[in-house]
Amino acid sequence: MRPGSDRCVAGVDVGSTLTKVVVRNGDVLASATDRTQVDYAGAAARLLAGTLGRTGLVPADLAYVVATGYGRRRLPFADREITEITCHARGVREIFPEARTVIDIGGQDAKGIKLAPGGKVVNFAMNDKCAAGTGRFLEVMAASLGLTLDELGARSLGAAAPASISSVCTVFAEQELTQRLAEGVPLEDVLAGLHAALASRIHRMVRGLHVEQQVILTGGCALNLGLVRALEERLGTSVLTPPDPLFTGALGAALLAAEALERGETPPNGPRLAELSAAAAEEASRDTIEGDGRRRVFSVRSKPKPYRAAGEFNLPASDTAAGLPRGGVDAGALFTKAVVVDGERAAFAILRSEGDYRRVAEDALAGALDVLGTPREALAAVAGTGLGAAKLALGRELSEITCLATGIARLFPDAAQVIDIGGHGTRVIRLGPGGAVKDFAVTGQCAAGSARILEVIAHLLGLDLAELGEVSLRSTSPAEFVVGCAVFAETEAISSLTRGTSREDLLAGLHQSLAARILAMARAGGAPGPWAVTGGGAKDAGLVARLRAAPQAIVVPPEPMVVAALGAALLAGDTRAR
Amino acid sequence: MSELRRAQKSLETVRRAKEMLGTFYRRQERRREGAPLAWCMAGVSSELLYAFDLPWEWPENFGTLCAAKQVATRFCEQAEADGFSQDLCSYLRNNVGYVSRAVELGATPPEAPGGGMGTPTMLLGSGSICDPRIKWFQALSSTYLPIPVFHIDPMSPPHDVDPRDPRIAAHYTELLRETVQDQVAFLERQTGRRLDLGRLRAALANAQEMIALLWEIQELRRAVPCPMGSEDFFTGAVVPLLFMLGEPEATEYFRCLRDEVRDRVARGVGVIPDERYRFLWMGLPPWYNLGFFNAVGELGAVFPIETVYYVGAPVEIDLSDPLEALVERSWKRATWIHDWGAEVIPENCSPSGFSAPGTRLIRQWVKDYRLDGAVMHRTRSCRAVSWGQVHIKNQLAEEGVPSLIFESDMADPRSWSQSVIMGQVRGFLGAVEASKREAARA
Repeated sequence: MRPGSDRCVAGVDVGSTLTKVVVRNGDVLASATDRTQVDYAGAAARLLAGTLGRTGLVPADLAYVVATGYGRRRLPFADREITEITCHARGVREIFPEARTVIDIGGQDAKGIKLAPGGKVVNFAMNDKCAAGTGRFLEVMAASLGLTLDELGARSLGAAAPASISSVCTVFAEQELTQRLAEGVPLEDVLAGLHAALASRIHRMVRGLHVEQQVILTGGCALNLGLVRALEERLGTSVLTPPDPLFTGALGAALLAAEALERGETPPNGPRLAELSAAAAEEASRDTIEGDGRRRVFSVRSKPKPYRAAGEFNLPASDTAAGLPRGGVDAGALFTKAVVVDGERAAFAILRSEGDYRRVAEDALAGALDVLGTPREALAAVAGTGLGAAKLALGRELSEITCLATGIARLFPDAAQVIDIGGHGTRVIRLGPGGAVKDFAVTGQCAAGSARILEVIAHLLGLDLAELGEVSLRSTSPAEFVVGCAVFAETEAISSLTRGTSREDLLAGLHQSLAARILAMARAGGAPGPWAVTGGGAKDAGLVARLRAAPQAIVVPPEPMVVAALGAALLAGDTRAR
Repeated sequence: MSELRRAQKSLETVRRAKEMLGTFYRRQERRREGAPLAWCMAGVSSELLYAFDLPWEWPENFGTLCAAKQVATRFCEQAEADGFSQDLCSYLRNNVGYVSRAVELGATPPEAPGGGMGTPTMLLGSGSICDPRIKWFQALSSTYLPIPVFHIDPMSPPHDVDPRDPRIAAHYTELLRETVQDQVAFLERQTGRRLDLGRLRAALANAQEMIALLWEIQELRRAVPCPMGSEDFFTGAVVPLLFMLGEPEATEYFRCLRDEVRDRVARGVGVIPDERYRFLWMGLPPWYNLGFFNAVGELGAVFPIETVYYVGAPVEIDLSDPLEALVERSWKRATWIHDWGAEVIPENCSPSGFSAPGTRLIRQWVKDYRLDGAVMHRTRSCRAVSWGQVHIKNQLAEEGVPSLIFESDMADPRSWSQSVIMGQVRGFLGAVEASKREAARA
């Protein structure tokens, strides 16, 4: 045995999504992972202390700790920080001595590493400003489909004819996926298409490295057989995966720690001991590690919560004679909304868009009918709008723009503009007399600046979308927050929080920046009259407060997510509208 | 890809284009191992190439072909992997990726449509239209294909000078003259042949005739119902206009096209059976999904005129000295653009052009072509053709003419989202309908 290698060392890999720990004592003793938290240093210390405790060790037994990953800096218990490129390369070399190309797909980044014979890093490449090609791509898709990441890969293997998913943007690819399913493409084929798209983006990143065998895939996505298969096809070579691909960086860090000891480095153990002992005490008071010693955060994270909401609201009095009850369904990428209008009463139901569109639409419509106690047969007409509308077989397919305009004109007859803030983009609709669409503008083909960013940040902070406003409005000094890629916003936010920004100031900064972007779109209109805010973004009081900087009054309907469905119900049976 | 489809052509002549334009569509037959072959950019005079009897191929056109055959993504990604930014022109990325892959394989990539491009012996670039073109062939030559490059950079006068001022005209025509002379000297060196002035004169005469025929076709498209829409213009007029100007068979083709369009007008036959909306098309088309025009046609809309590739009325030139005629034609065209304003052909103007003349030509088109609105394609990777759209939209709105701007790309289908774009089109038709009702009430 080489000197030093039998002493206890640890590698800690603080990634943007997960923190991974490997403890070694000549061989791997234990490994554990947990979600990276806002207090990433404290959480990493607790994870390491807990892992030590599980193997019967105490912090004093640790001789050396190497930190790596996105959050490697300023871990007070680490003796040294080493880049993830070096650590990954070292970890891979331990398992695959012949490895020449390493592809690591992390939650918010992706990298390719070229190794010389012997394992020295000779070149590397990383993803650019866009989240396309990162593990988050698959996470978002899994969440959208209500599948775990494991299921996502396994089911893709059953594809007969992979569908084409061309969108580069992670957020828009989700929309495309919904569209394919709505067209009736089998789920397996859509999934195979998704994996092929990700493989294609990864290939784009690593091609310049001149991929050579052996090719090793690491990171959580290496557990996804669908991706491994797609990558093999794209690269035209076999792709190997280590048994514990998530821990490759942490393993490399632990090995580099042992090598430091071998070289005779003996760092003072004071700070390490103090930090880890305190963390161990805190960890002992918790009991969250599962039987196999790892927290299986992957499958937990991607399963969306079931969602169901229903209720009713009153429409303002109108001169037009009330006809028979009519229904409208807005089949969106994430939620299906149904509204039934009966005179001045409007009932609604909202369900998550999952599986069979037609069934979800029927369920939502039934939910809205239940609220009114009206039988389905009583409906004079039903119209559909939204992405999946073509597949609804609900009478007529209407434009969402027209429906939003009609819905708002009924709720706020004097409204001059609609600002619809949805998960995939923002739309500003300028209204003419009687809710006629005069003009509209939409955000482009990148989700930067869409309300998806709010969802991402709410998730990071463990808050509901509707809770963001309360926190944001407490801020006295909004932070600078650049509204870039909706997916990378999480990394930006963690970075800002670790620099000491408060949650309040972070959210206020985000709201301010997003509102400025939206108002820049809206300002082009200029007609007098209030501006009505709709969509999921309207439920965020912090954002709405910042939108009040607008030159016109801002009004929010009672149920901002169902306005297009309301418009569809109002237009159902109207032969003029399209 | 289920949602992306090729255009259904309406005109018989357009359907027969491949057969009638053999020089272009059967260019493989002209390739000879080791013999001179030029890769050219749009803007290079095809009359000059014809005069040298020099076989040519056009990477930009190959980009549109790869897009139509759904293989452009493969080549774009290859270029991006080589470090060419995704923000660069998708024609450029397609071509660079194609070459990169061919060099890597040592053979034509199997997915290349039409048997791929021939191996060039020279690259003839042009800096007109946009900036990536200035570096494109240099990058090809320095990175993948070590062959000579000759690049022309035709200048247009800025908006705030008078092109009829003899000093200004003399300055620009002298520049153009030098460029043409240098280009001829380069071609003589590369081909080992002297320029055949008689052949150049004949080609220019053919080109003049062809532009006159095209002008006639564009005028005929004013008819209601519209006899020729953008789907036929893009699939049937762009190749002969951009890449075969001066070739006798291209002129003959345009004659047939003119005859067919004239016949349709006489018989009152339109592109779509129920023409309810007539729109101006602005921007490059989505080459991978020209069926988009048919999809919009199914909703009752037709596109009788486009800003892109619009060359206007023919200009008179003196063919006694054919080289001087080339200079004269370039200058007269630059003057024409100057007169009408950058809005018409933004790709050929400096941004300063916007401040002066307004949108007179487009406003005129609204009347002449009885347009109900404008549809503008903002192409992510072609700023040259996309800029100014918001300005024009605002100008048209002042006249009560609604416009739709939607975003995608000309040859990179990764920016296309069928559901989102068709949703916007439907919303736009609603706005047009409302605007028509308002106009009727007024």
